[in-house]
Amino acid sequence: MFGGISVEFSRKKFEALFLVLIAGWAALFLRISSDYAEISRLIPRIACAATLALVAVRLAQVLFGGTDGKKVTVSPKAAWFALALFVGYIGGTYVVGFLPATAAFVALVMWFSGYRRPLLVVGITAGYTALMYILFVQVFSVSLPDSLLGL
Amino acid sequence: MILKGIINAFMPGNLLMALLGTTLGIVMGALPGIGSTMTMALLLPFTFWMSPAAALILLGSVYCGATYGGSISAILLNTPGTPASSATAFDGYPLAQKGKGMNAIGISAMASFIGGTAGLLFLLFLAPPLADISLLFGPAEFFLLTLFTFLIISVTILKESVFKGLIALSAGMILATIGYDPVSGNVRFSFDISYLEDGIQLLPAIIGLFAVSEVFSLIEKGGTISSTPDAQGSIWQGFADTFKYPRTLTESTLIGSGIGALPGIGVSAANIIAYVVAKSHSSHASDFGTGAEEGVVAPEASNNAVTCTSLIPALTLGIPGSSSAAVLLGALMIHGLIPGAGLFTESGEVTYTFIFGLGISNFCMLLVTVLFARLLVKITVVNVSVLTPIITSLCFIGAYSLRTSMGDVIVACVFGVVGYVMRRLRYPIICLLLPLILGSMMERGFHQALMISGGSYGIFVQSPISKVIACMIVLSLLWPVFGWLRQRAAK
Repeated sequence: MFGGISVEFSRKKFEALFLVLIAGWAALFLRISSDYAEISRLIPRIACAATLALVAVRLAQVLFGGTDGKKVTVSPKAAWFALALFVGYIGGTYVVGFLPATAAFVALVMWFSGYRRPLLVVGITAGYTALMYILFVQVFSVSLPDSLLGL
Repeated sequence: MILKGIINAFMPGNLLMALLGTTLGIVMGALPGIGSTMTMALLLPFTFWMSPAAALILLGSVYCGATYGGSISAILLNTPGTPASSATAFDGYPLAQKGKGMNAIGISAMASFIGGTAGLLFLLFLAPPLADISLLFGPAEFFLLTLFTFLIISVTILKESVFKGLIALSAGMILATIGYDPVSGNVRFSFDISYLEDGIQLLPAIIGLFAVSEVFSLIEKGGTISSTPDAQGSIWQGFADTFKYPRTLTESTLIGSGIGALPGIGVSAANIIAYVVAKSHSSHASDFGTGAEEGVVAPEASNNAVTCTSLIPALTLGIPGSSSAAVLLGALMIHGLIPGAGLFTESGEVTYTFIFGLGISNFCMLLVTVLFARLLVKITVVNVSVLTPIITSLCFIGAYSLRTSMGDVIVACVFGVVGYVMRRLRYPIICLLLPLILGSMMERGFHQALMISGGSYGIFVQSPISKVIACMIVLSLLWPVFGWLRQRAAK
């Protein structure tokens, strides 16, 4: 779908970055947990300390050990598309409501990801949205998210 | 009384309920976020006008059908319909990618049938003694059992580095401590966000880690899920392939049956434990995660065994072994049936009709699979441009529907990113997920045990059961050392 543009990272650097992020998060939680009562902080502190220790060992393994030399390929175009997909869907639901957002989302994603058959796109979108409505609203009485426009 | 139960179970009305419940369960189980508990809860009001046996058969069949149905979406879309099918996706989906979707569904159906039938036999004959054993498990034993589960999975799941599994485990444990402390009720790590006060919810986390991360992968990959659209395999071959792994089948059924009989651990953990155990002794462990048939047999045999044996503590002690068993327990009471020994004596006819009705439901599962599997497998040859928005939308509504919370949708997205990165770096997702399932139970067990002992840590090695589990924990920690020594000896 997005084979054209891609960026390669060394797996070593990618994993090191991931581990540093985990360590930062564990250190933050370790700091915060010191404000809690003893009964509430014991398990989180053990978990945070264990995470920091394990990350340190793994980081040493990654940085100083042998590397498989593999690359992690990331397509920025695909990453932006995925991000826009989720943010757009959640935002669209917030503004116009779940069912109209679903219909627009299904049709737009299919079209922009290369499925250029107008009749099928319309048919699938209408069929799927109707199915969602019948199944979740009529059968399961799931209350759909509120929207600004009240649709 | 048992004979009467068999005859009643084959009455047309009860047969119809078994078929209806199983079909409905399979369809609902395949939809992420719906699952057995929600379907059973929604059906409960409609059972008021039915006879107690018919009502229980309908609800029980939904329970069994949904547990199996969750594996269909796990295999075809890498989206477990229920937490019970989390581990099925690990090898079921790669099999579908190889064009063996029908085989995988066949294996899943047959393993579920065997696990479910064996679980029923356990329910029938071993209910009272197994319920007695579960009573021996106090908070200390539950804590140790959970810790052992965590450790054995983390150190055996990935051969290339035990640290990856352990880091995911400890990070998962930190995530599990977000929200209310299960003992004192204090709020932790909420950052004044009211959503976080209830902690990280399991369902959106599962949807994110498995389904949303798969959407990201599909966007990158393009094409179709199956790389060989013309070779979709055979369901009958799948049925036959199940029997190539008698040890895994037996072991996983026993694991599921045992875990189901213990209240609280439940089906979410059983399928993962069975998967890891199968991998640990398999002669082709390196194939696991890339489409090993054994990797579908293990979780499916165990999760359907759990569905039946989780009814053991519910029927004998009134303690449900899972949330669906709790709904079933409610149905029992609504229909005037009180859990306990009386259920197998005074109300024995209804109880045995129900148990044999579940047996019929297991056969219905195979029938529905044979009739509709080919239709379902077509999903794997649909262009991902069509599938991506549909799966995303199902993830959205699945995460949202249980608590009608947009926060759950956002959590699913965040976990989707985390799951995607973990996949790319080959960190085991199960190890992050397991503490979210069992973490609060472990913490509660730990503190309750200390309260009982007046703060003495000796309680964790006091009872014979504690001593055995403590030894198993030590052995699990030494597991990587054994592996290293084995490698050295081989060289």
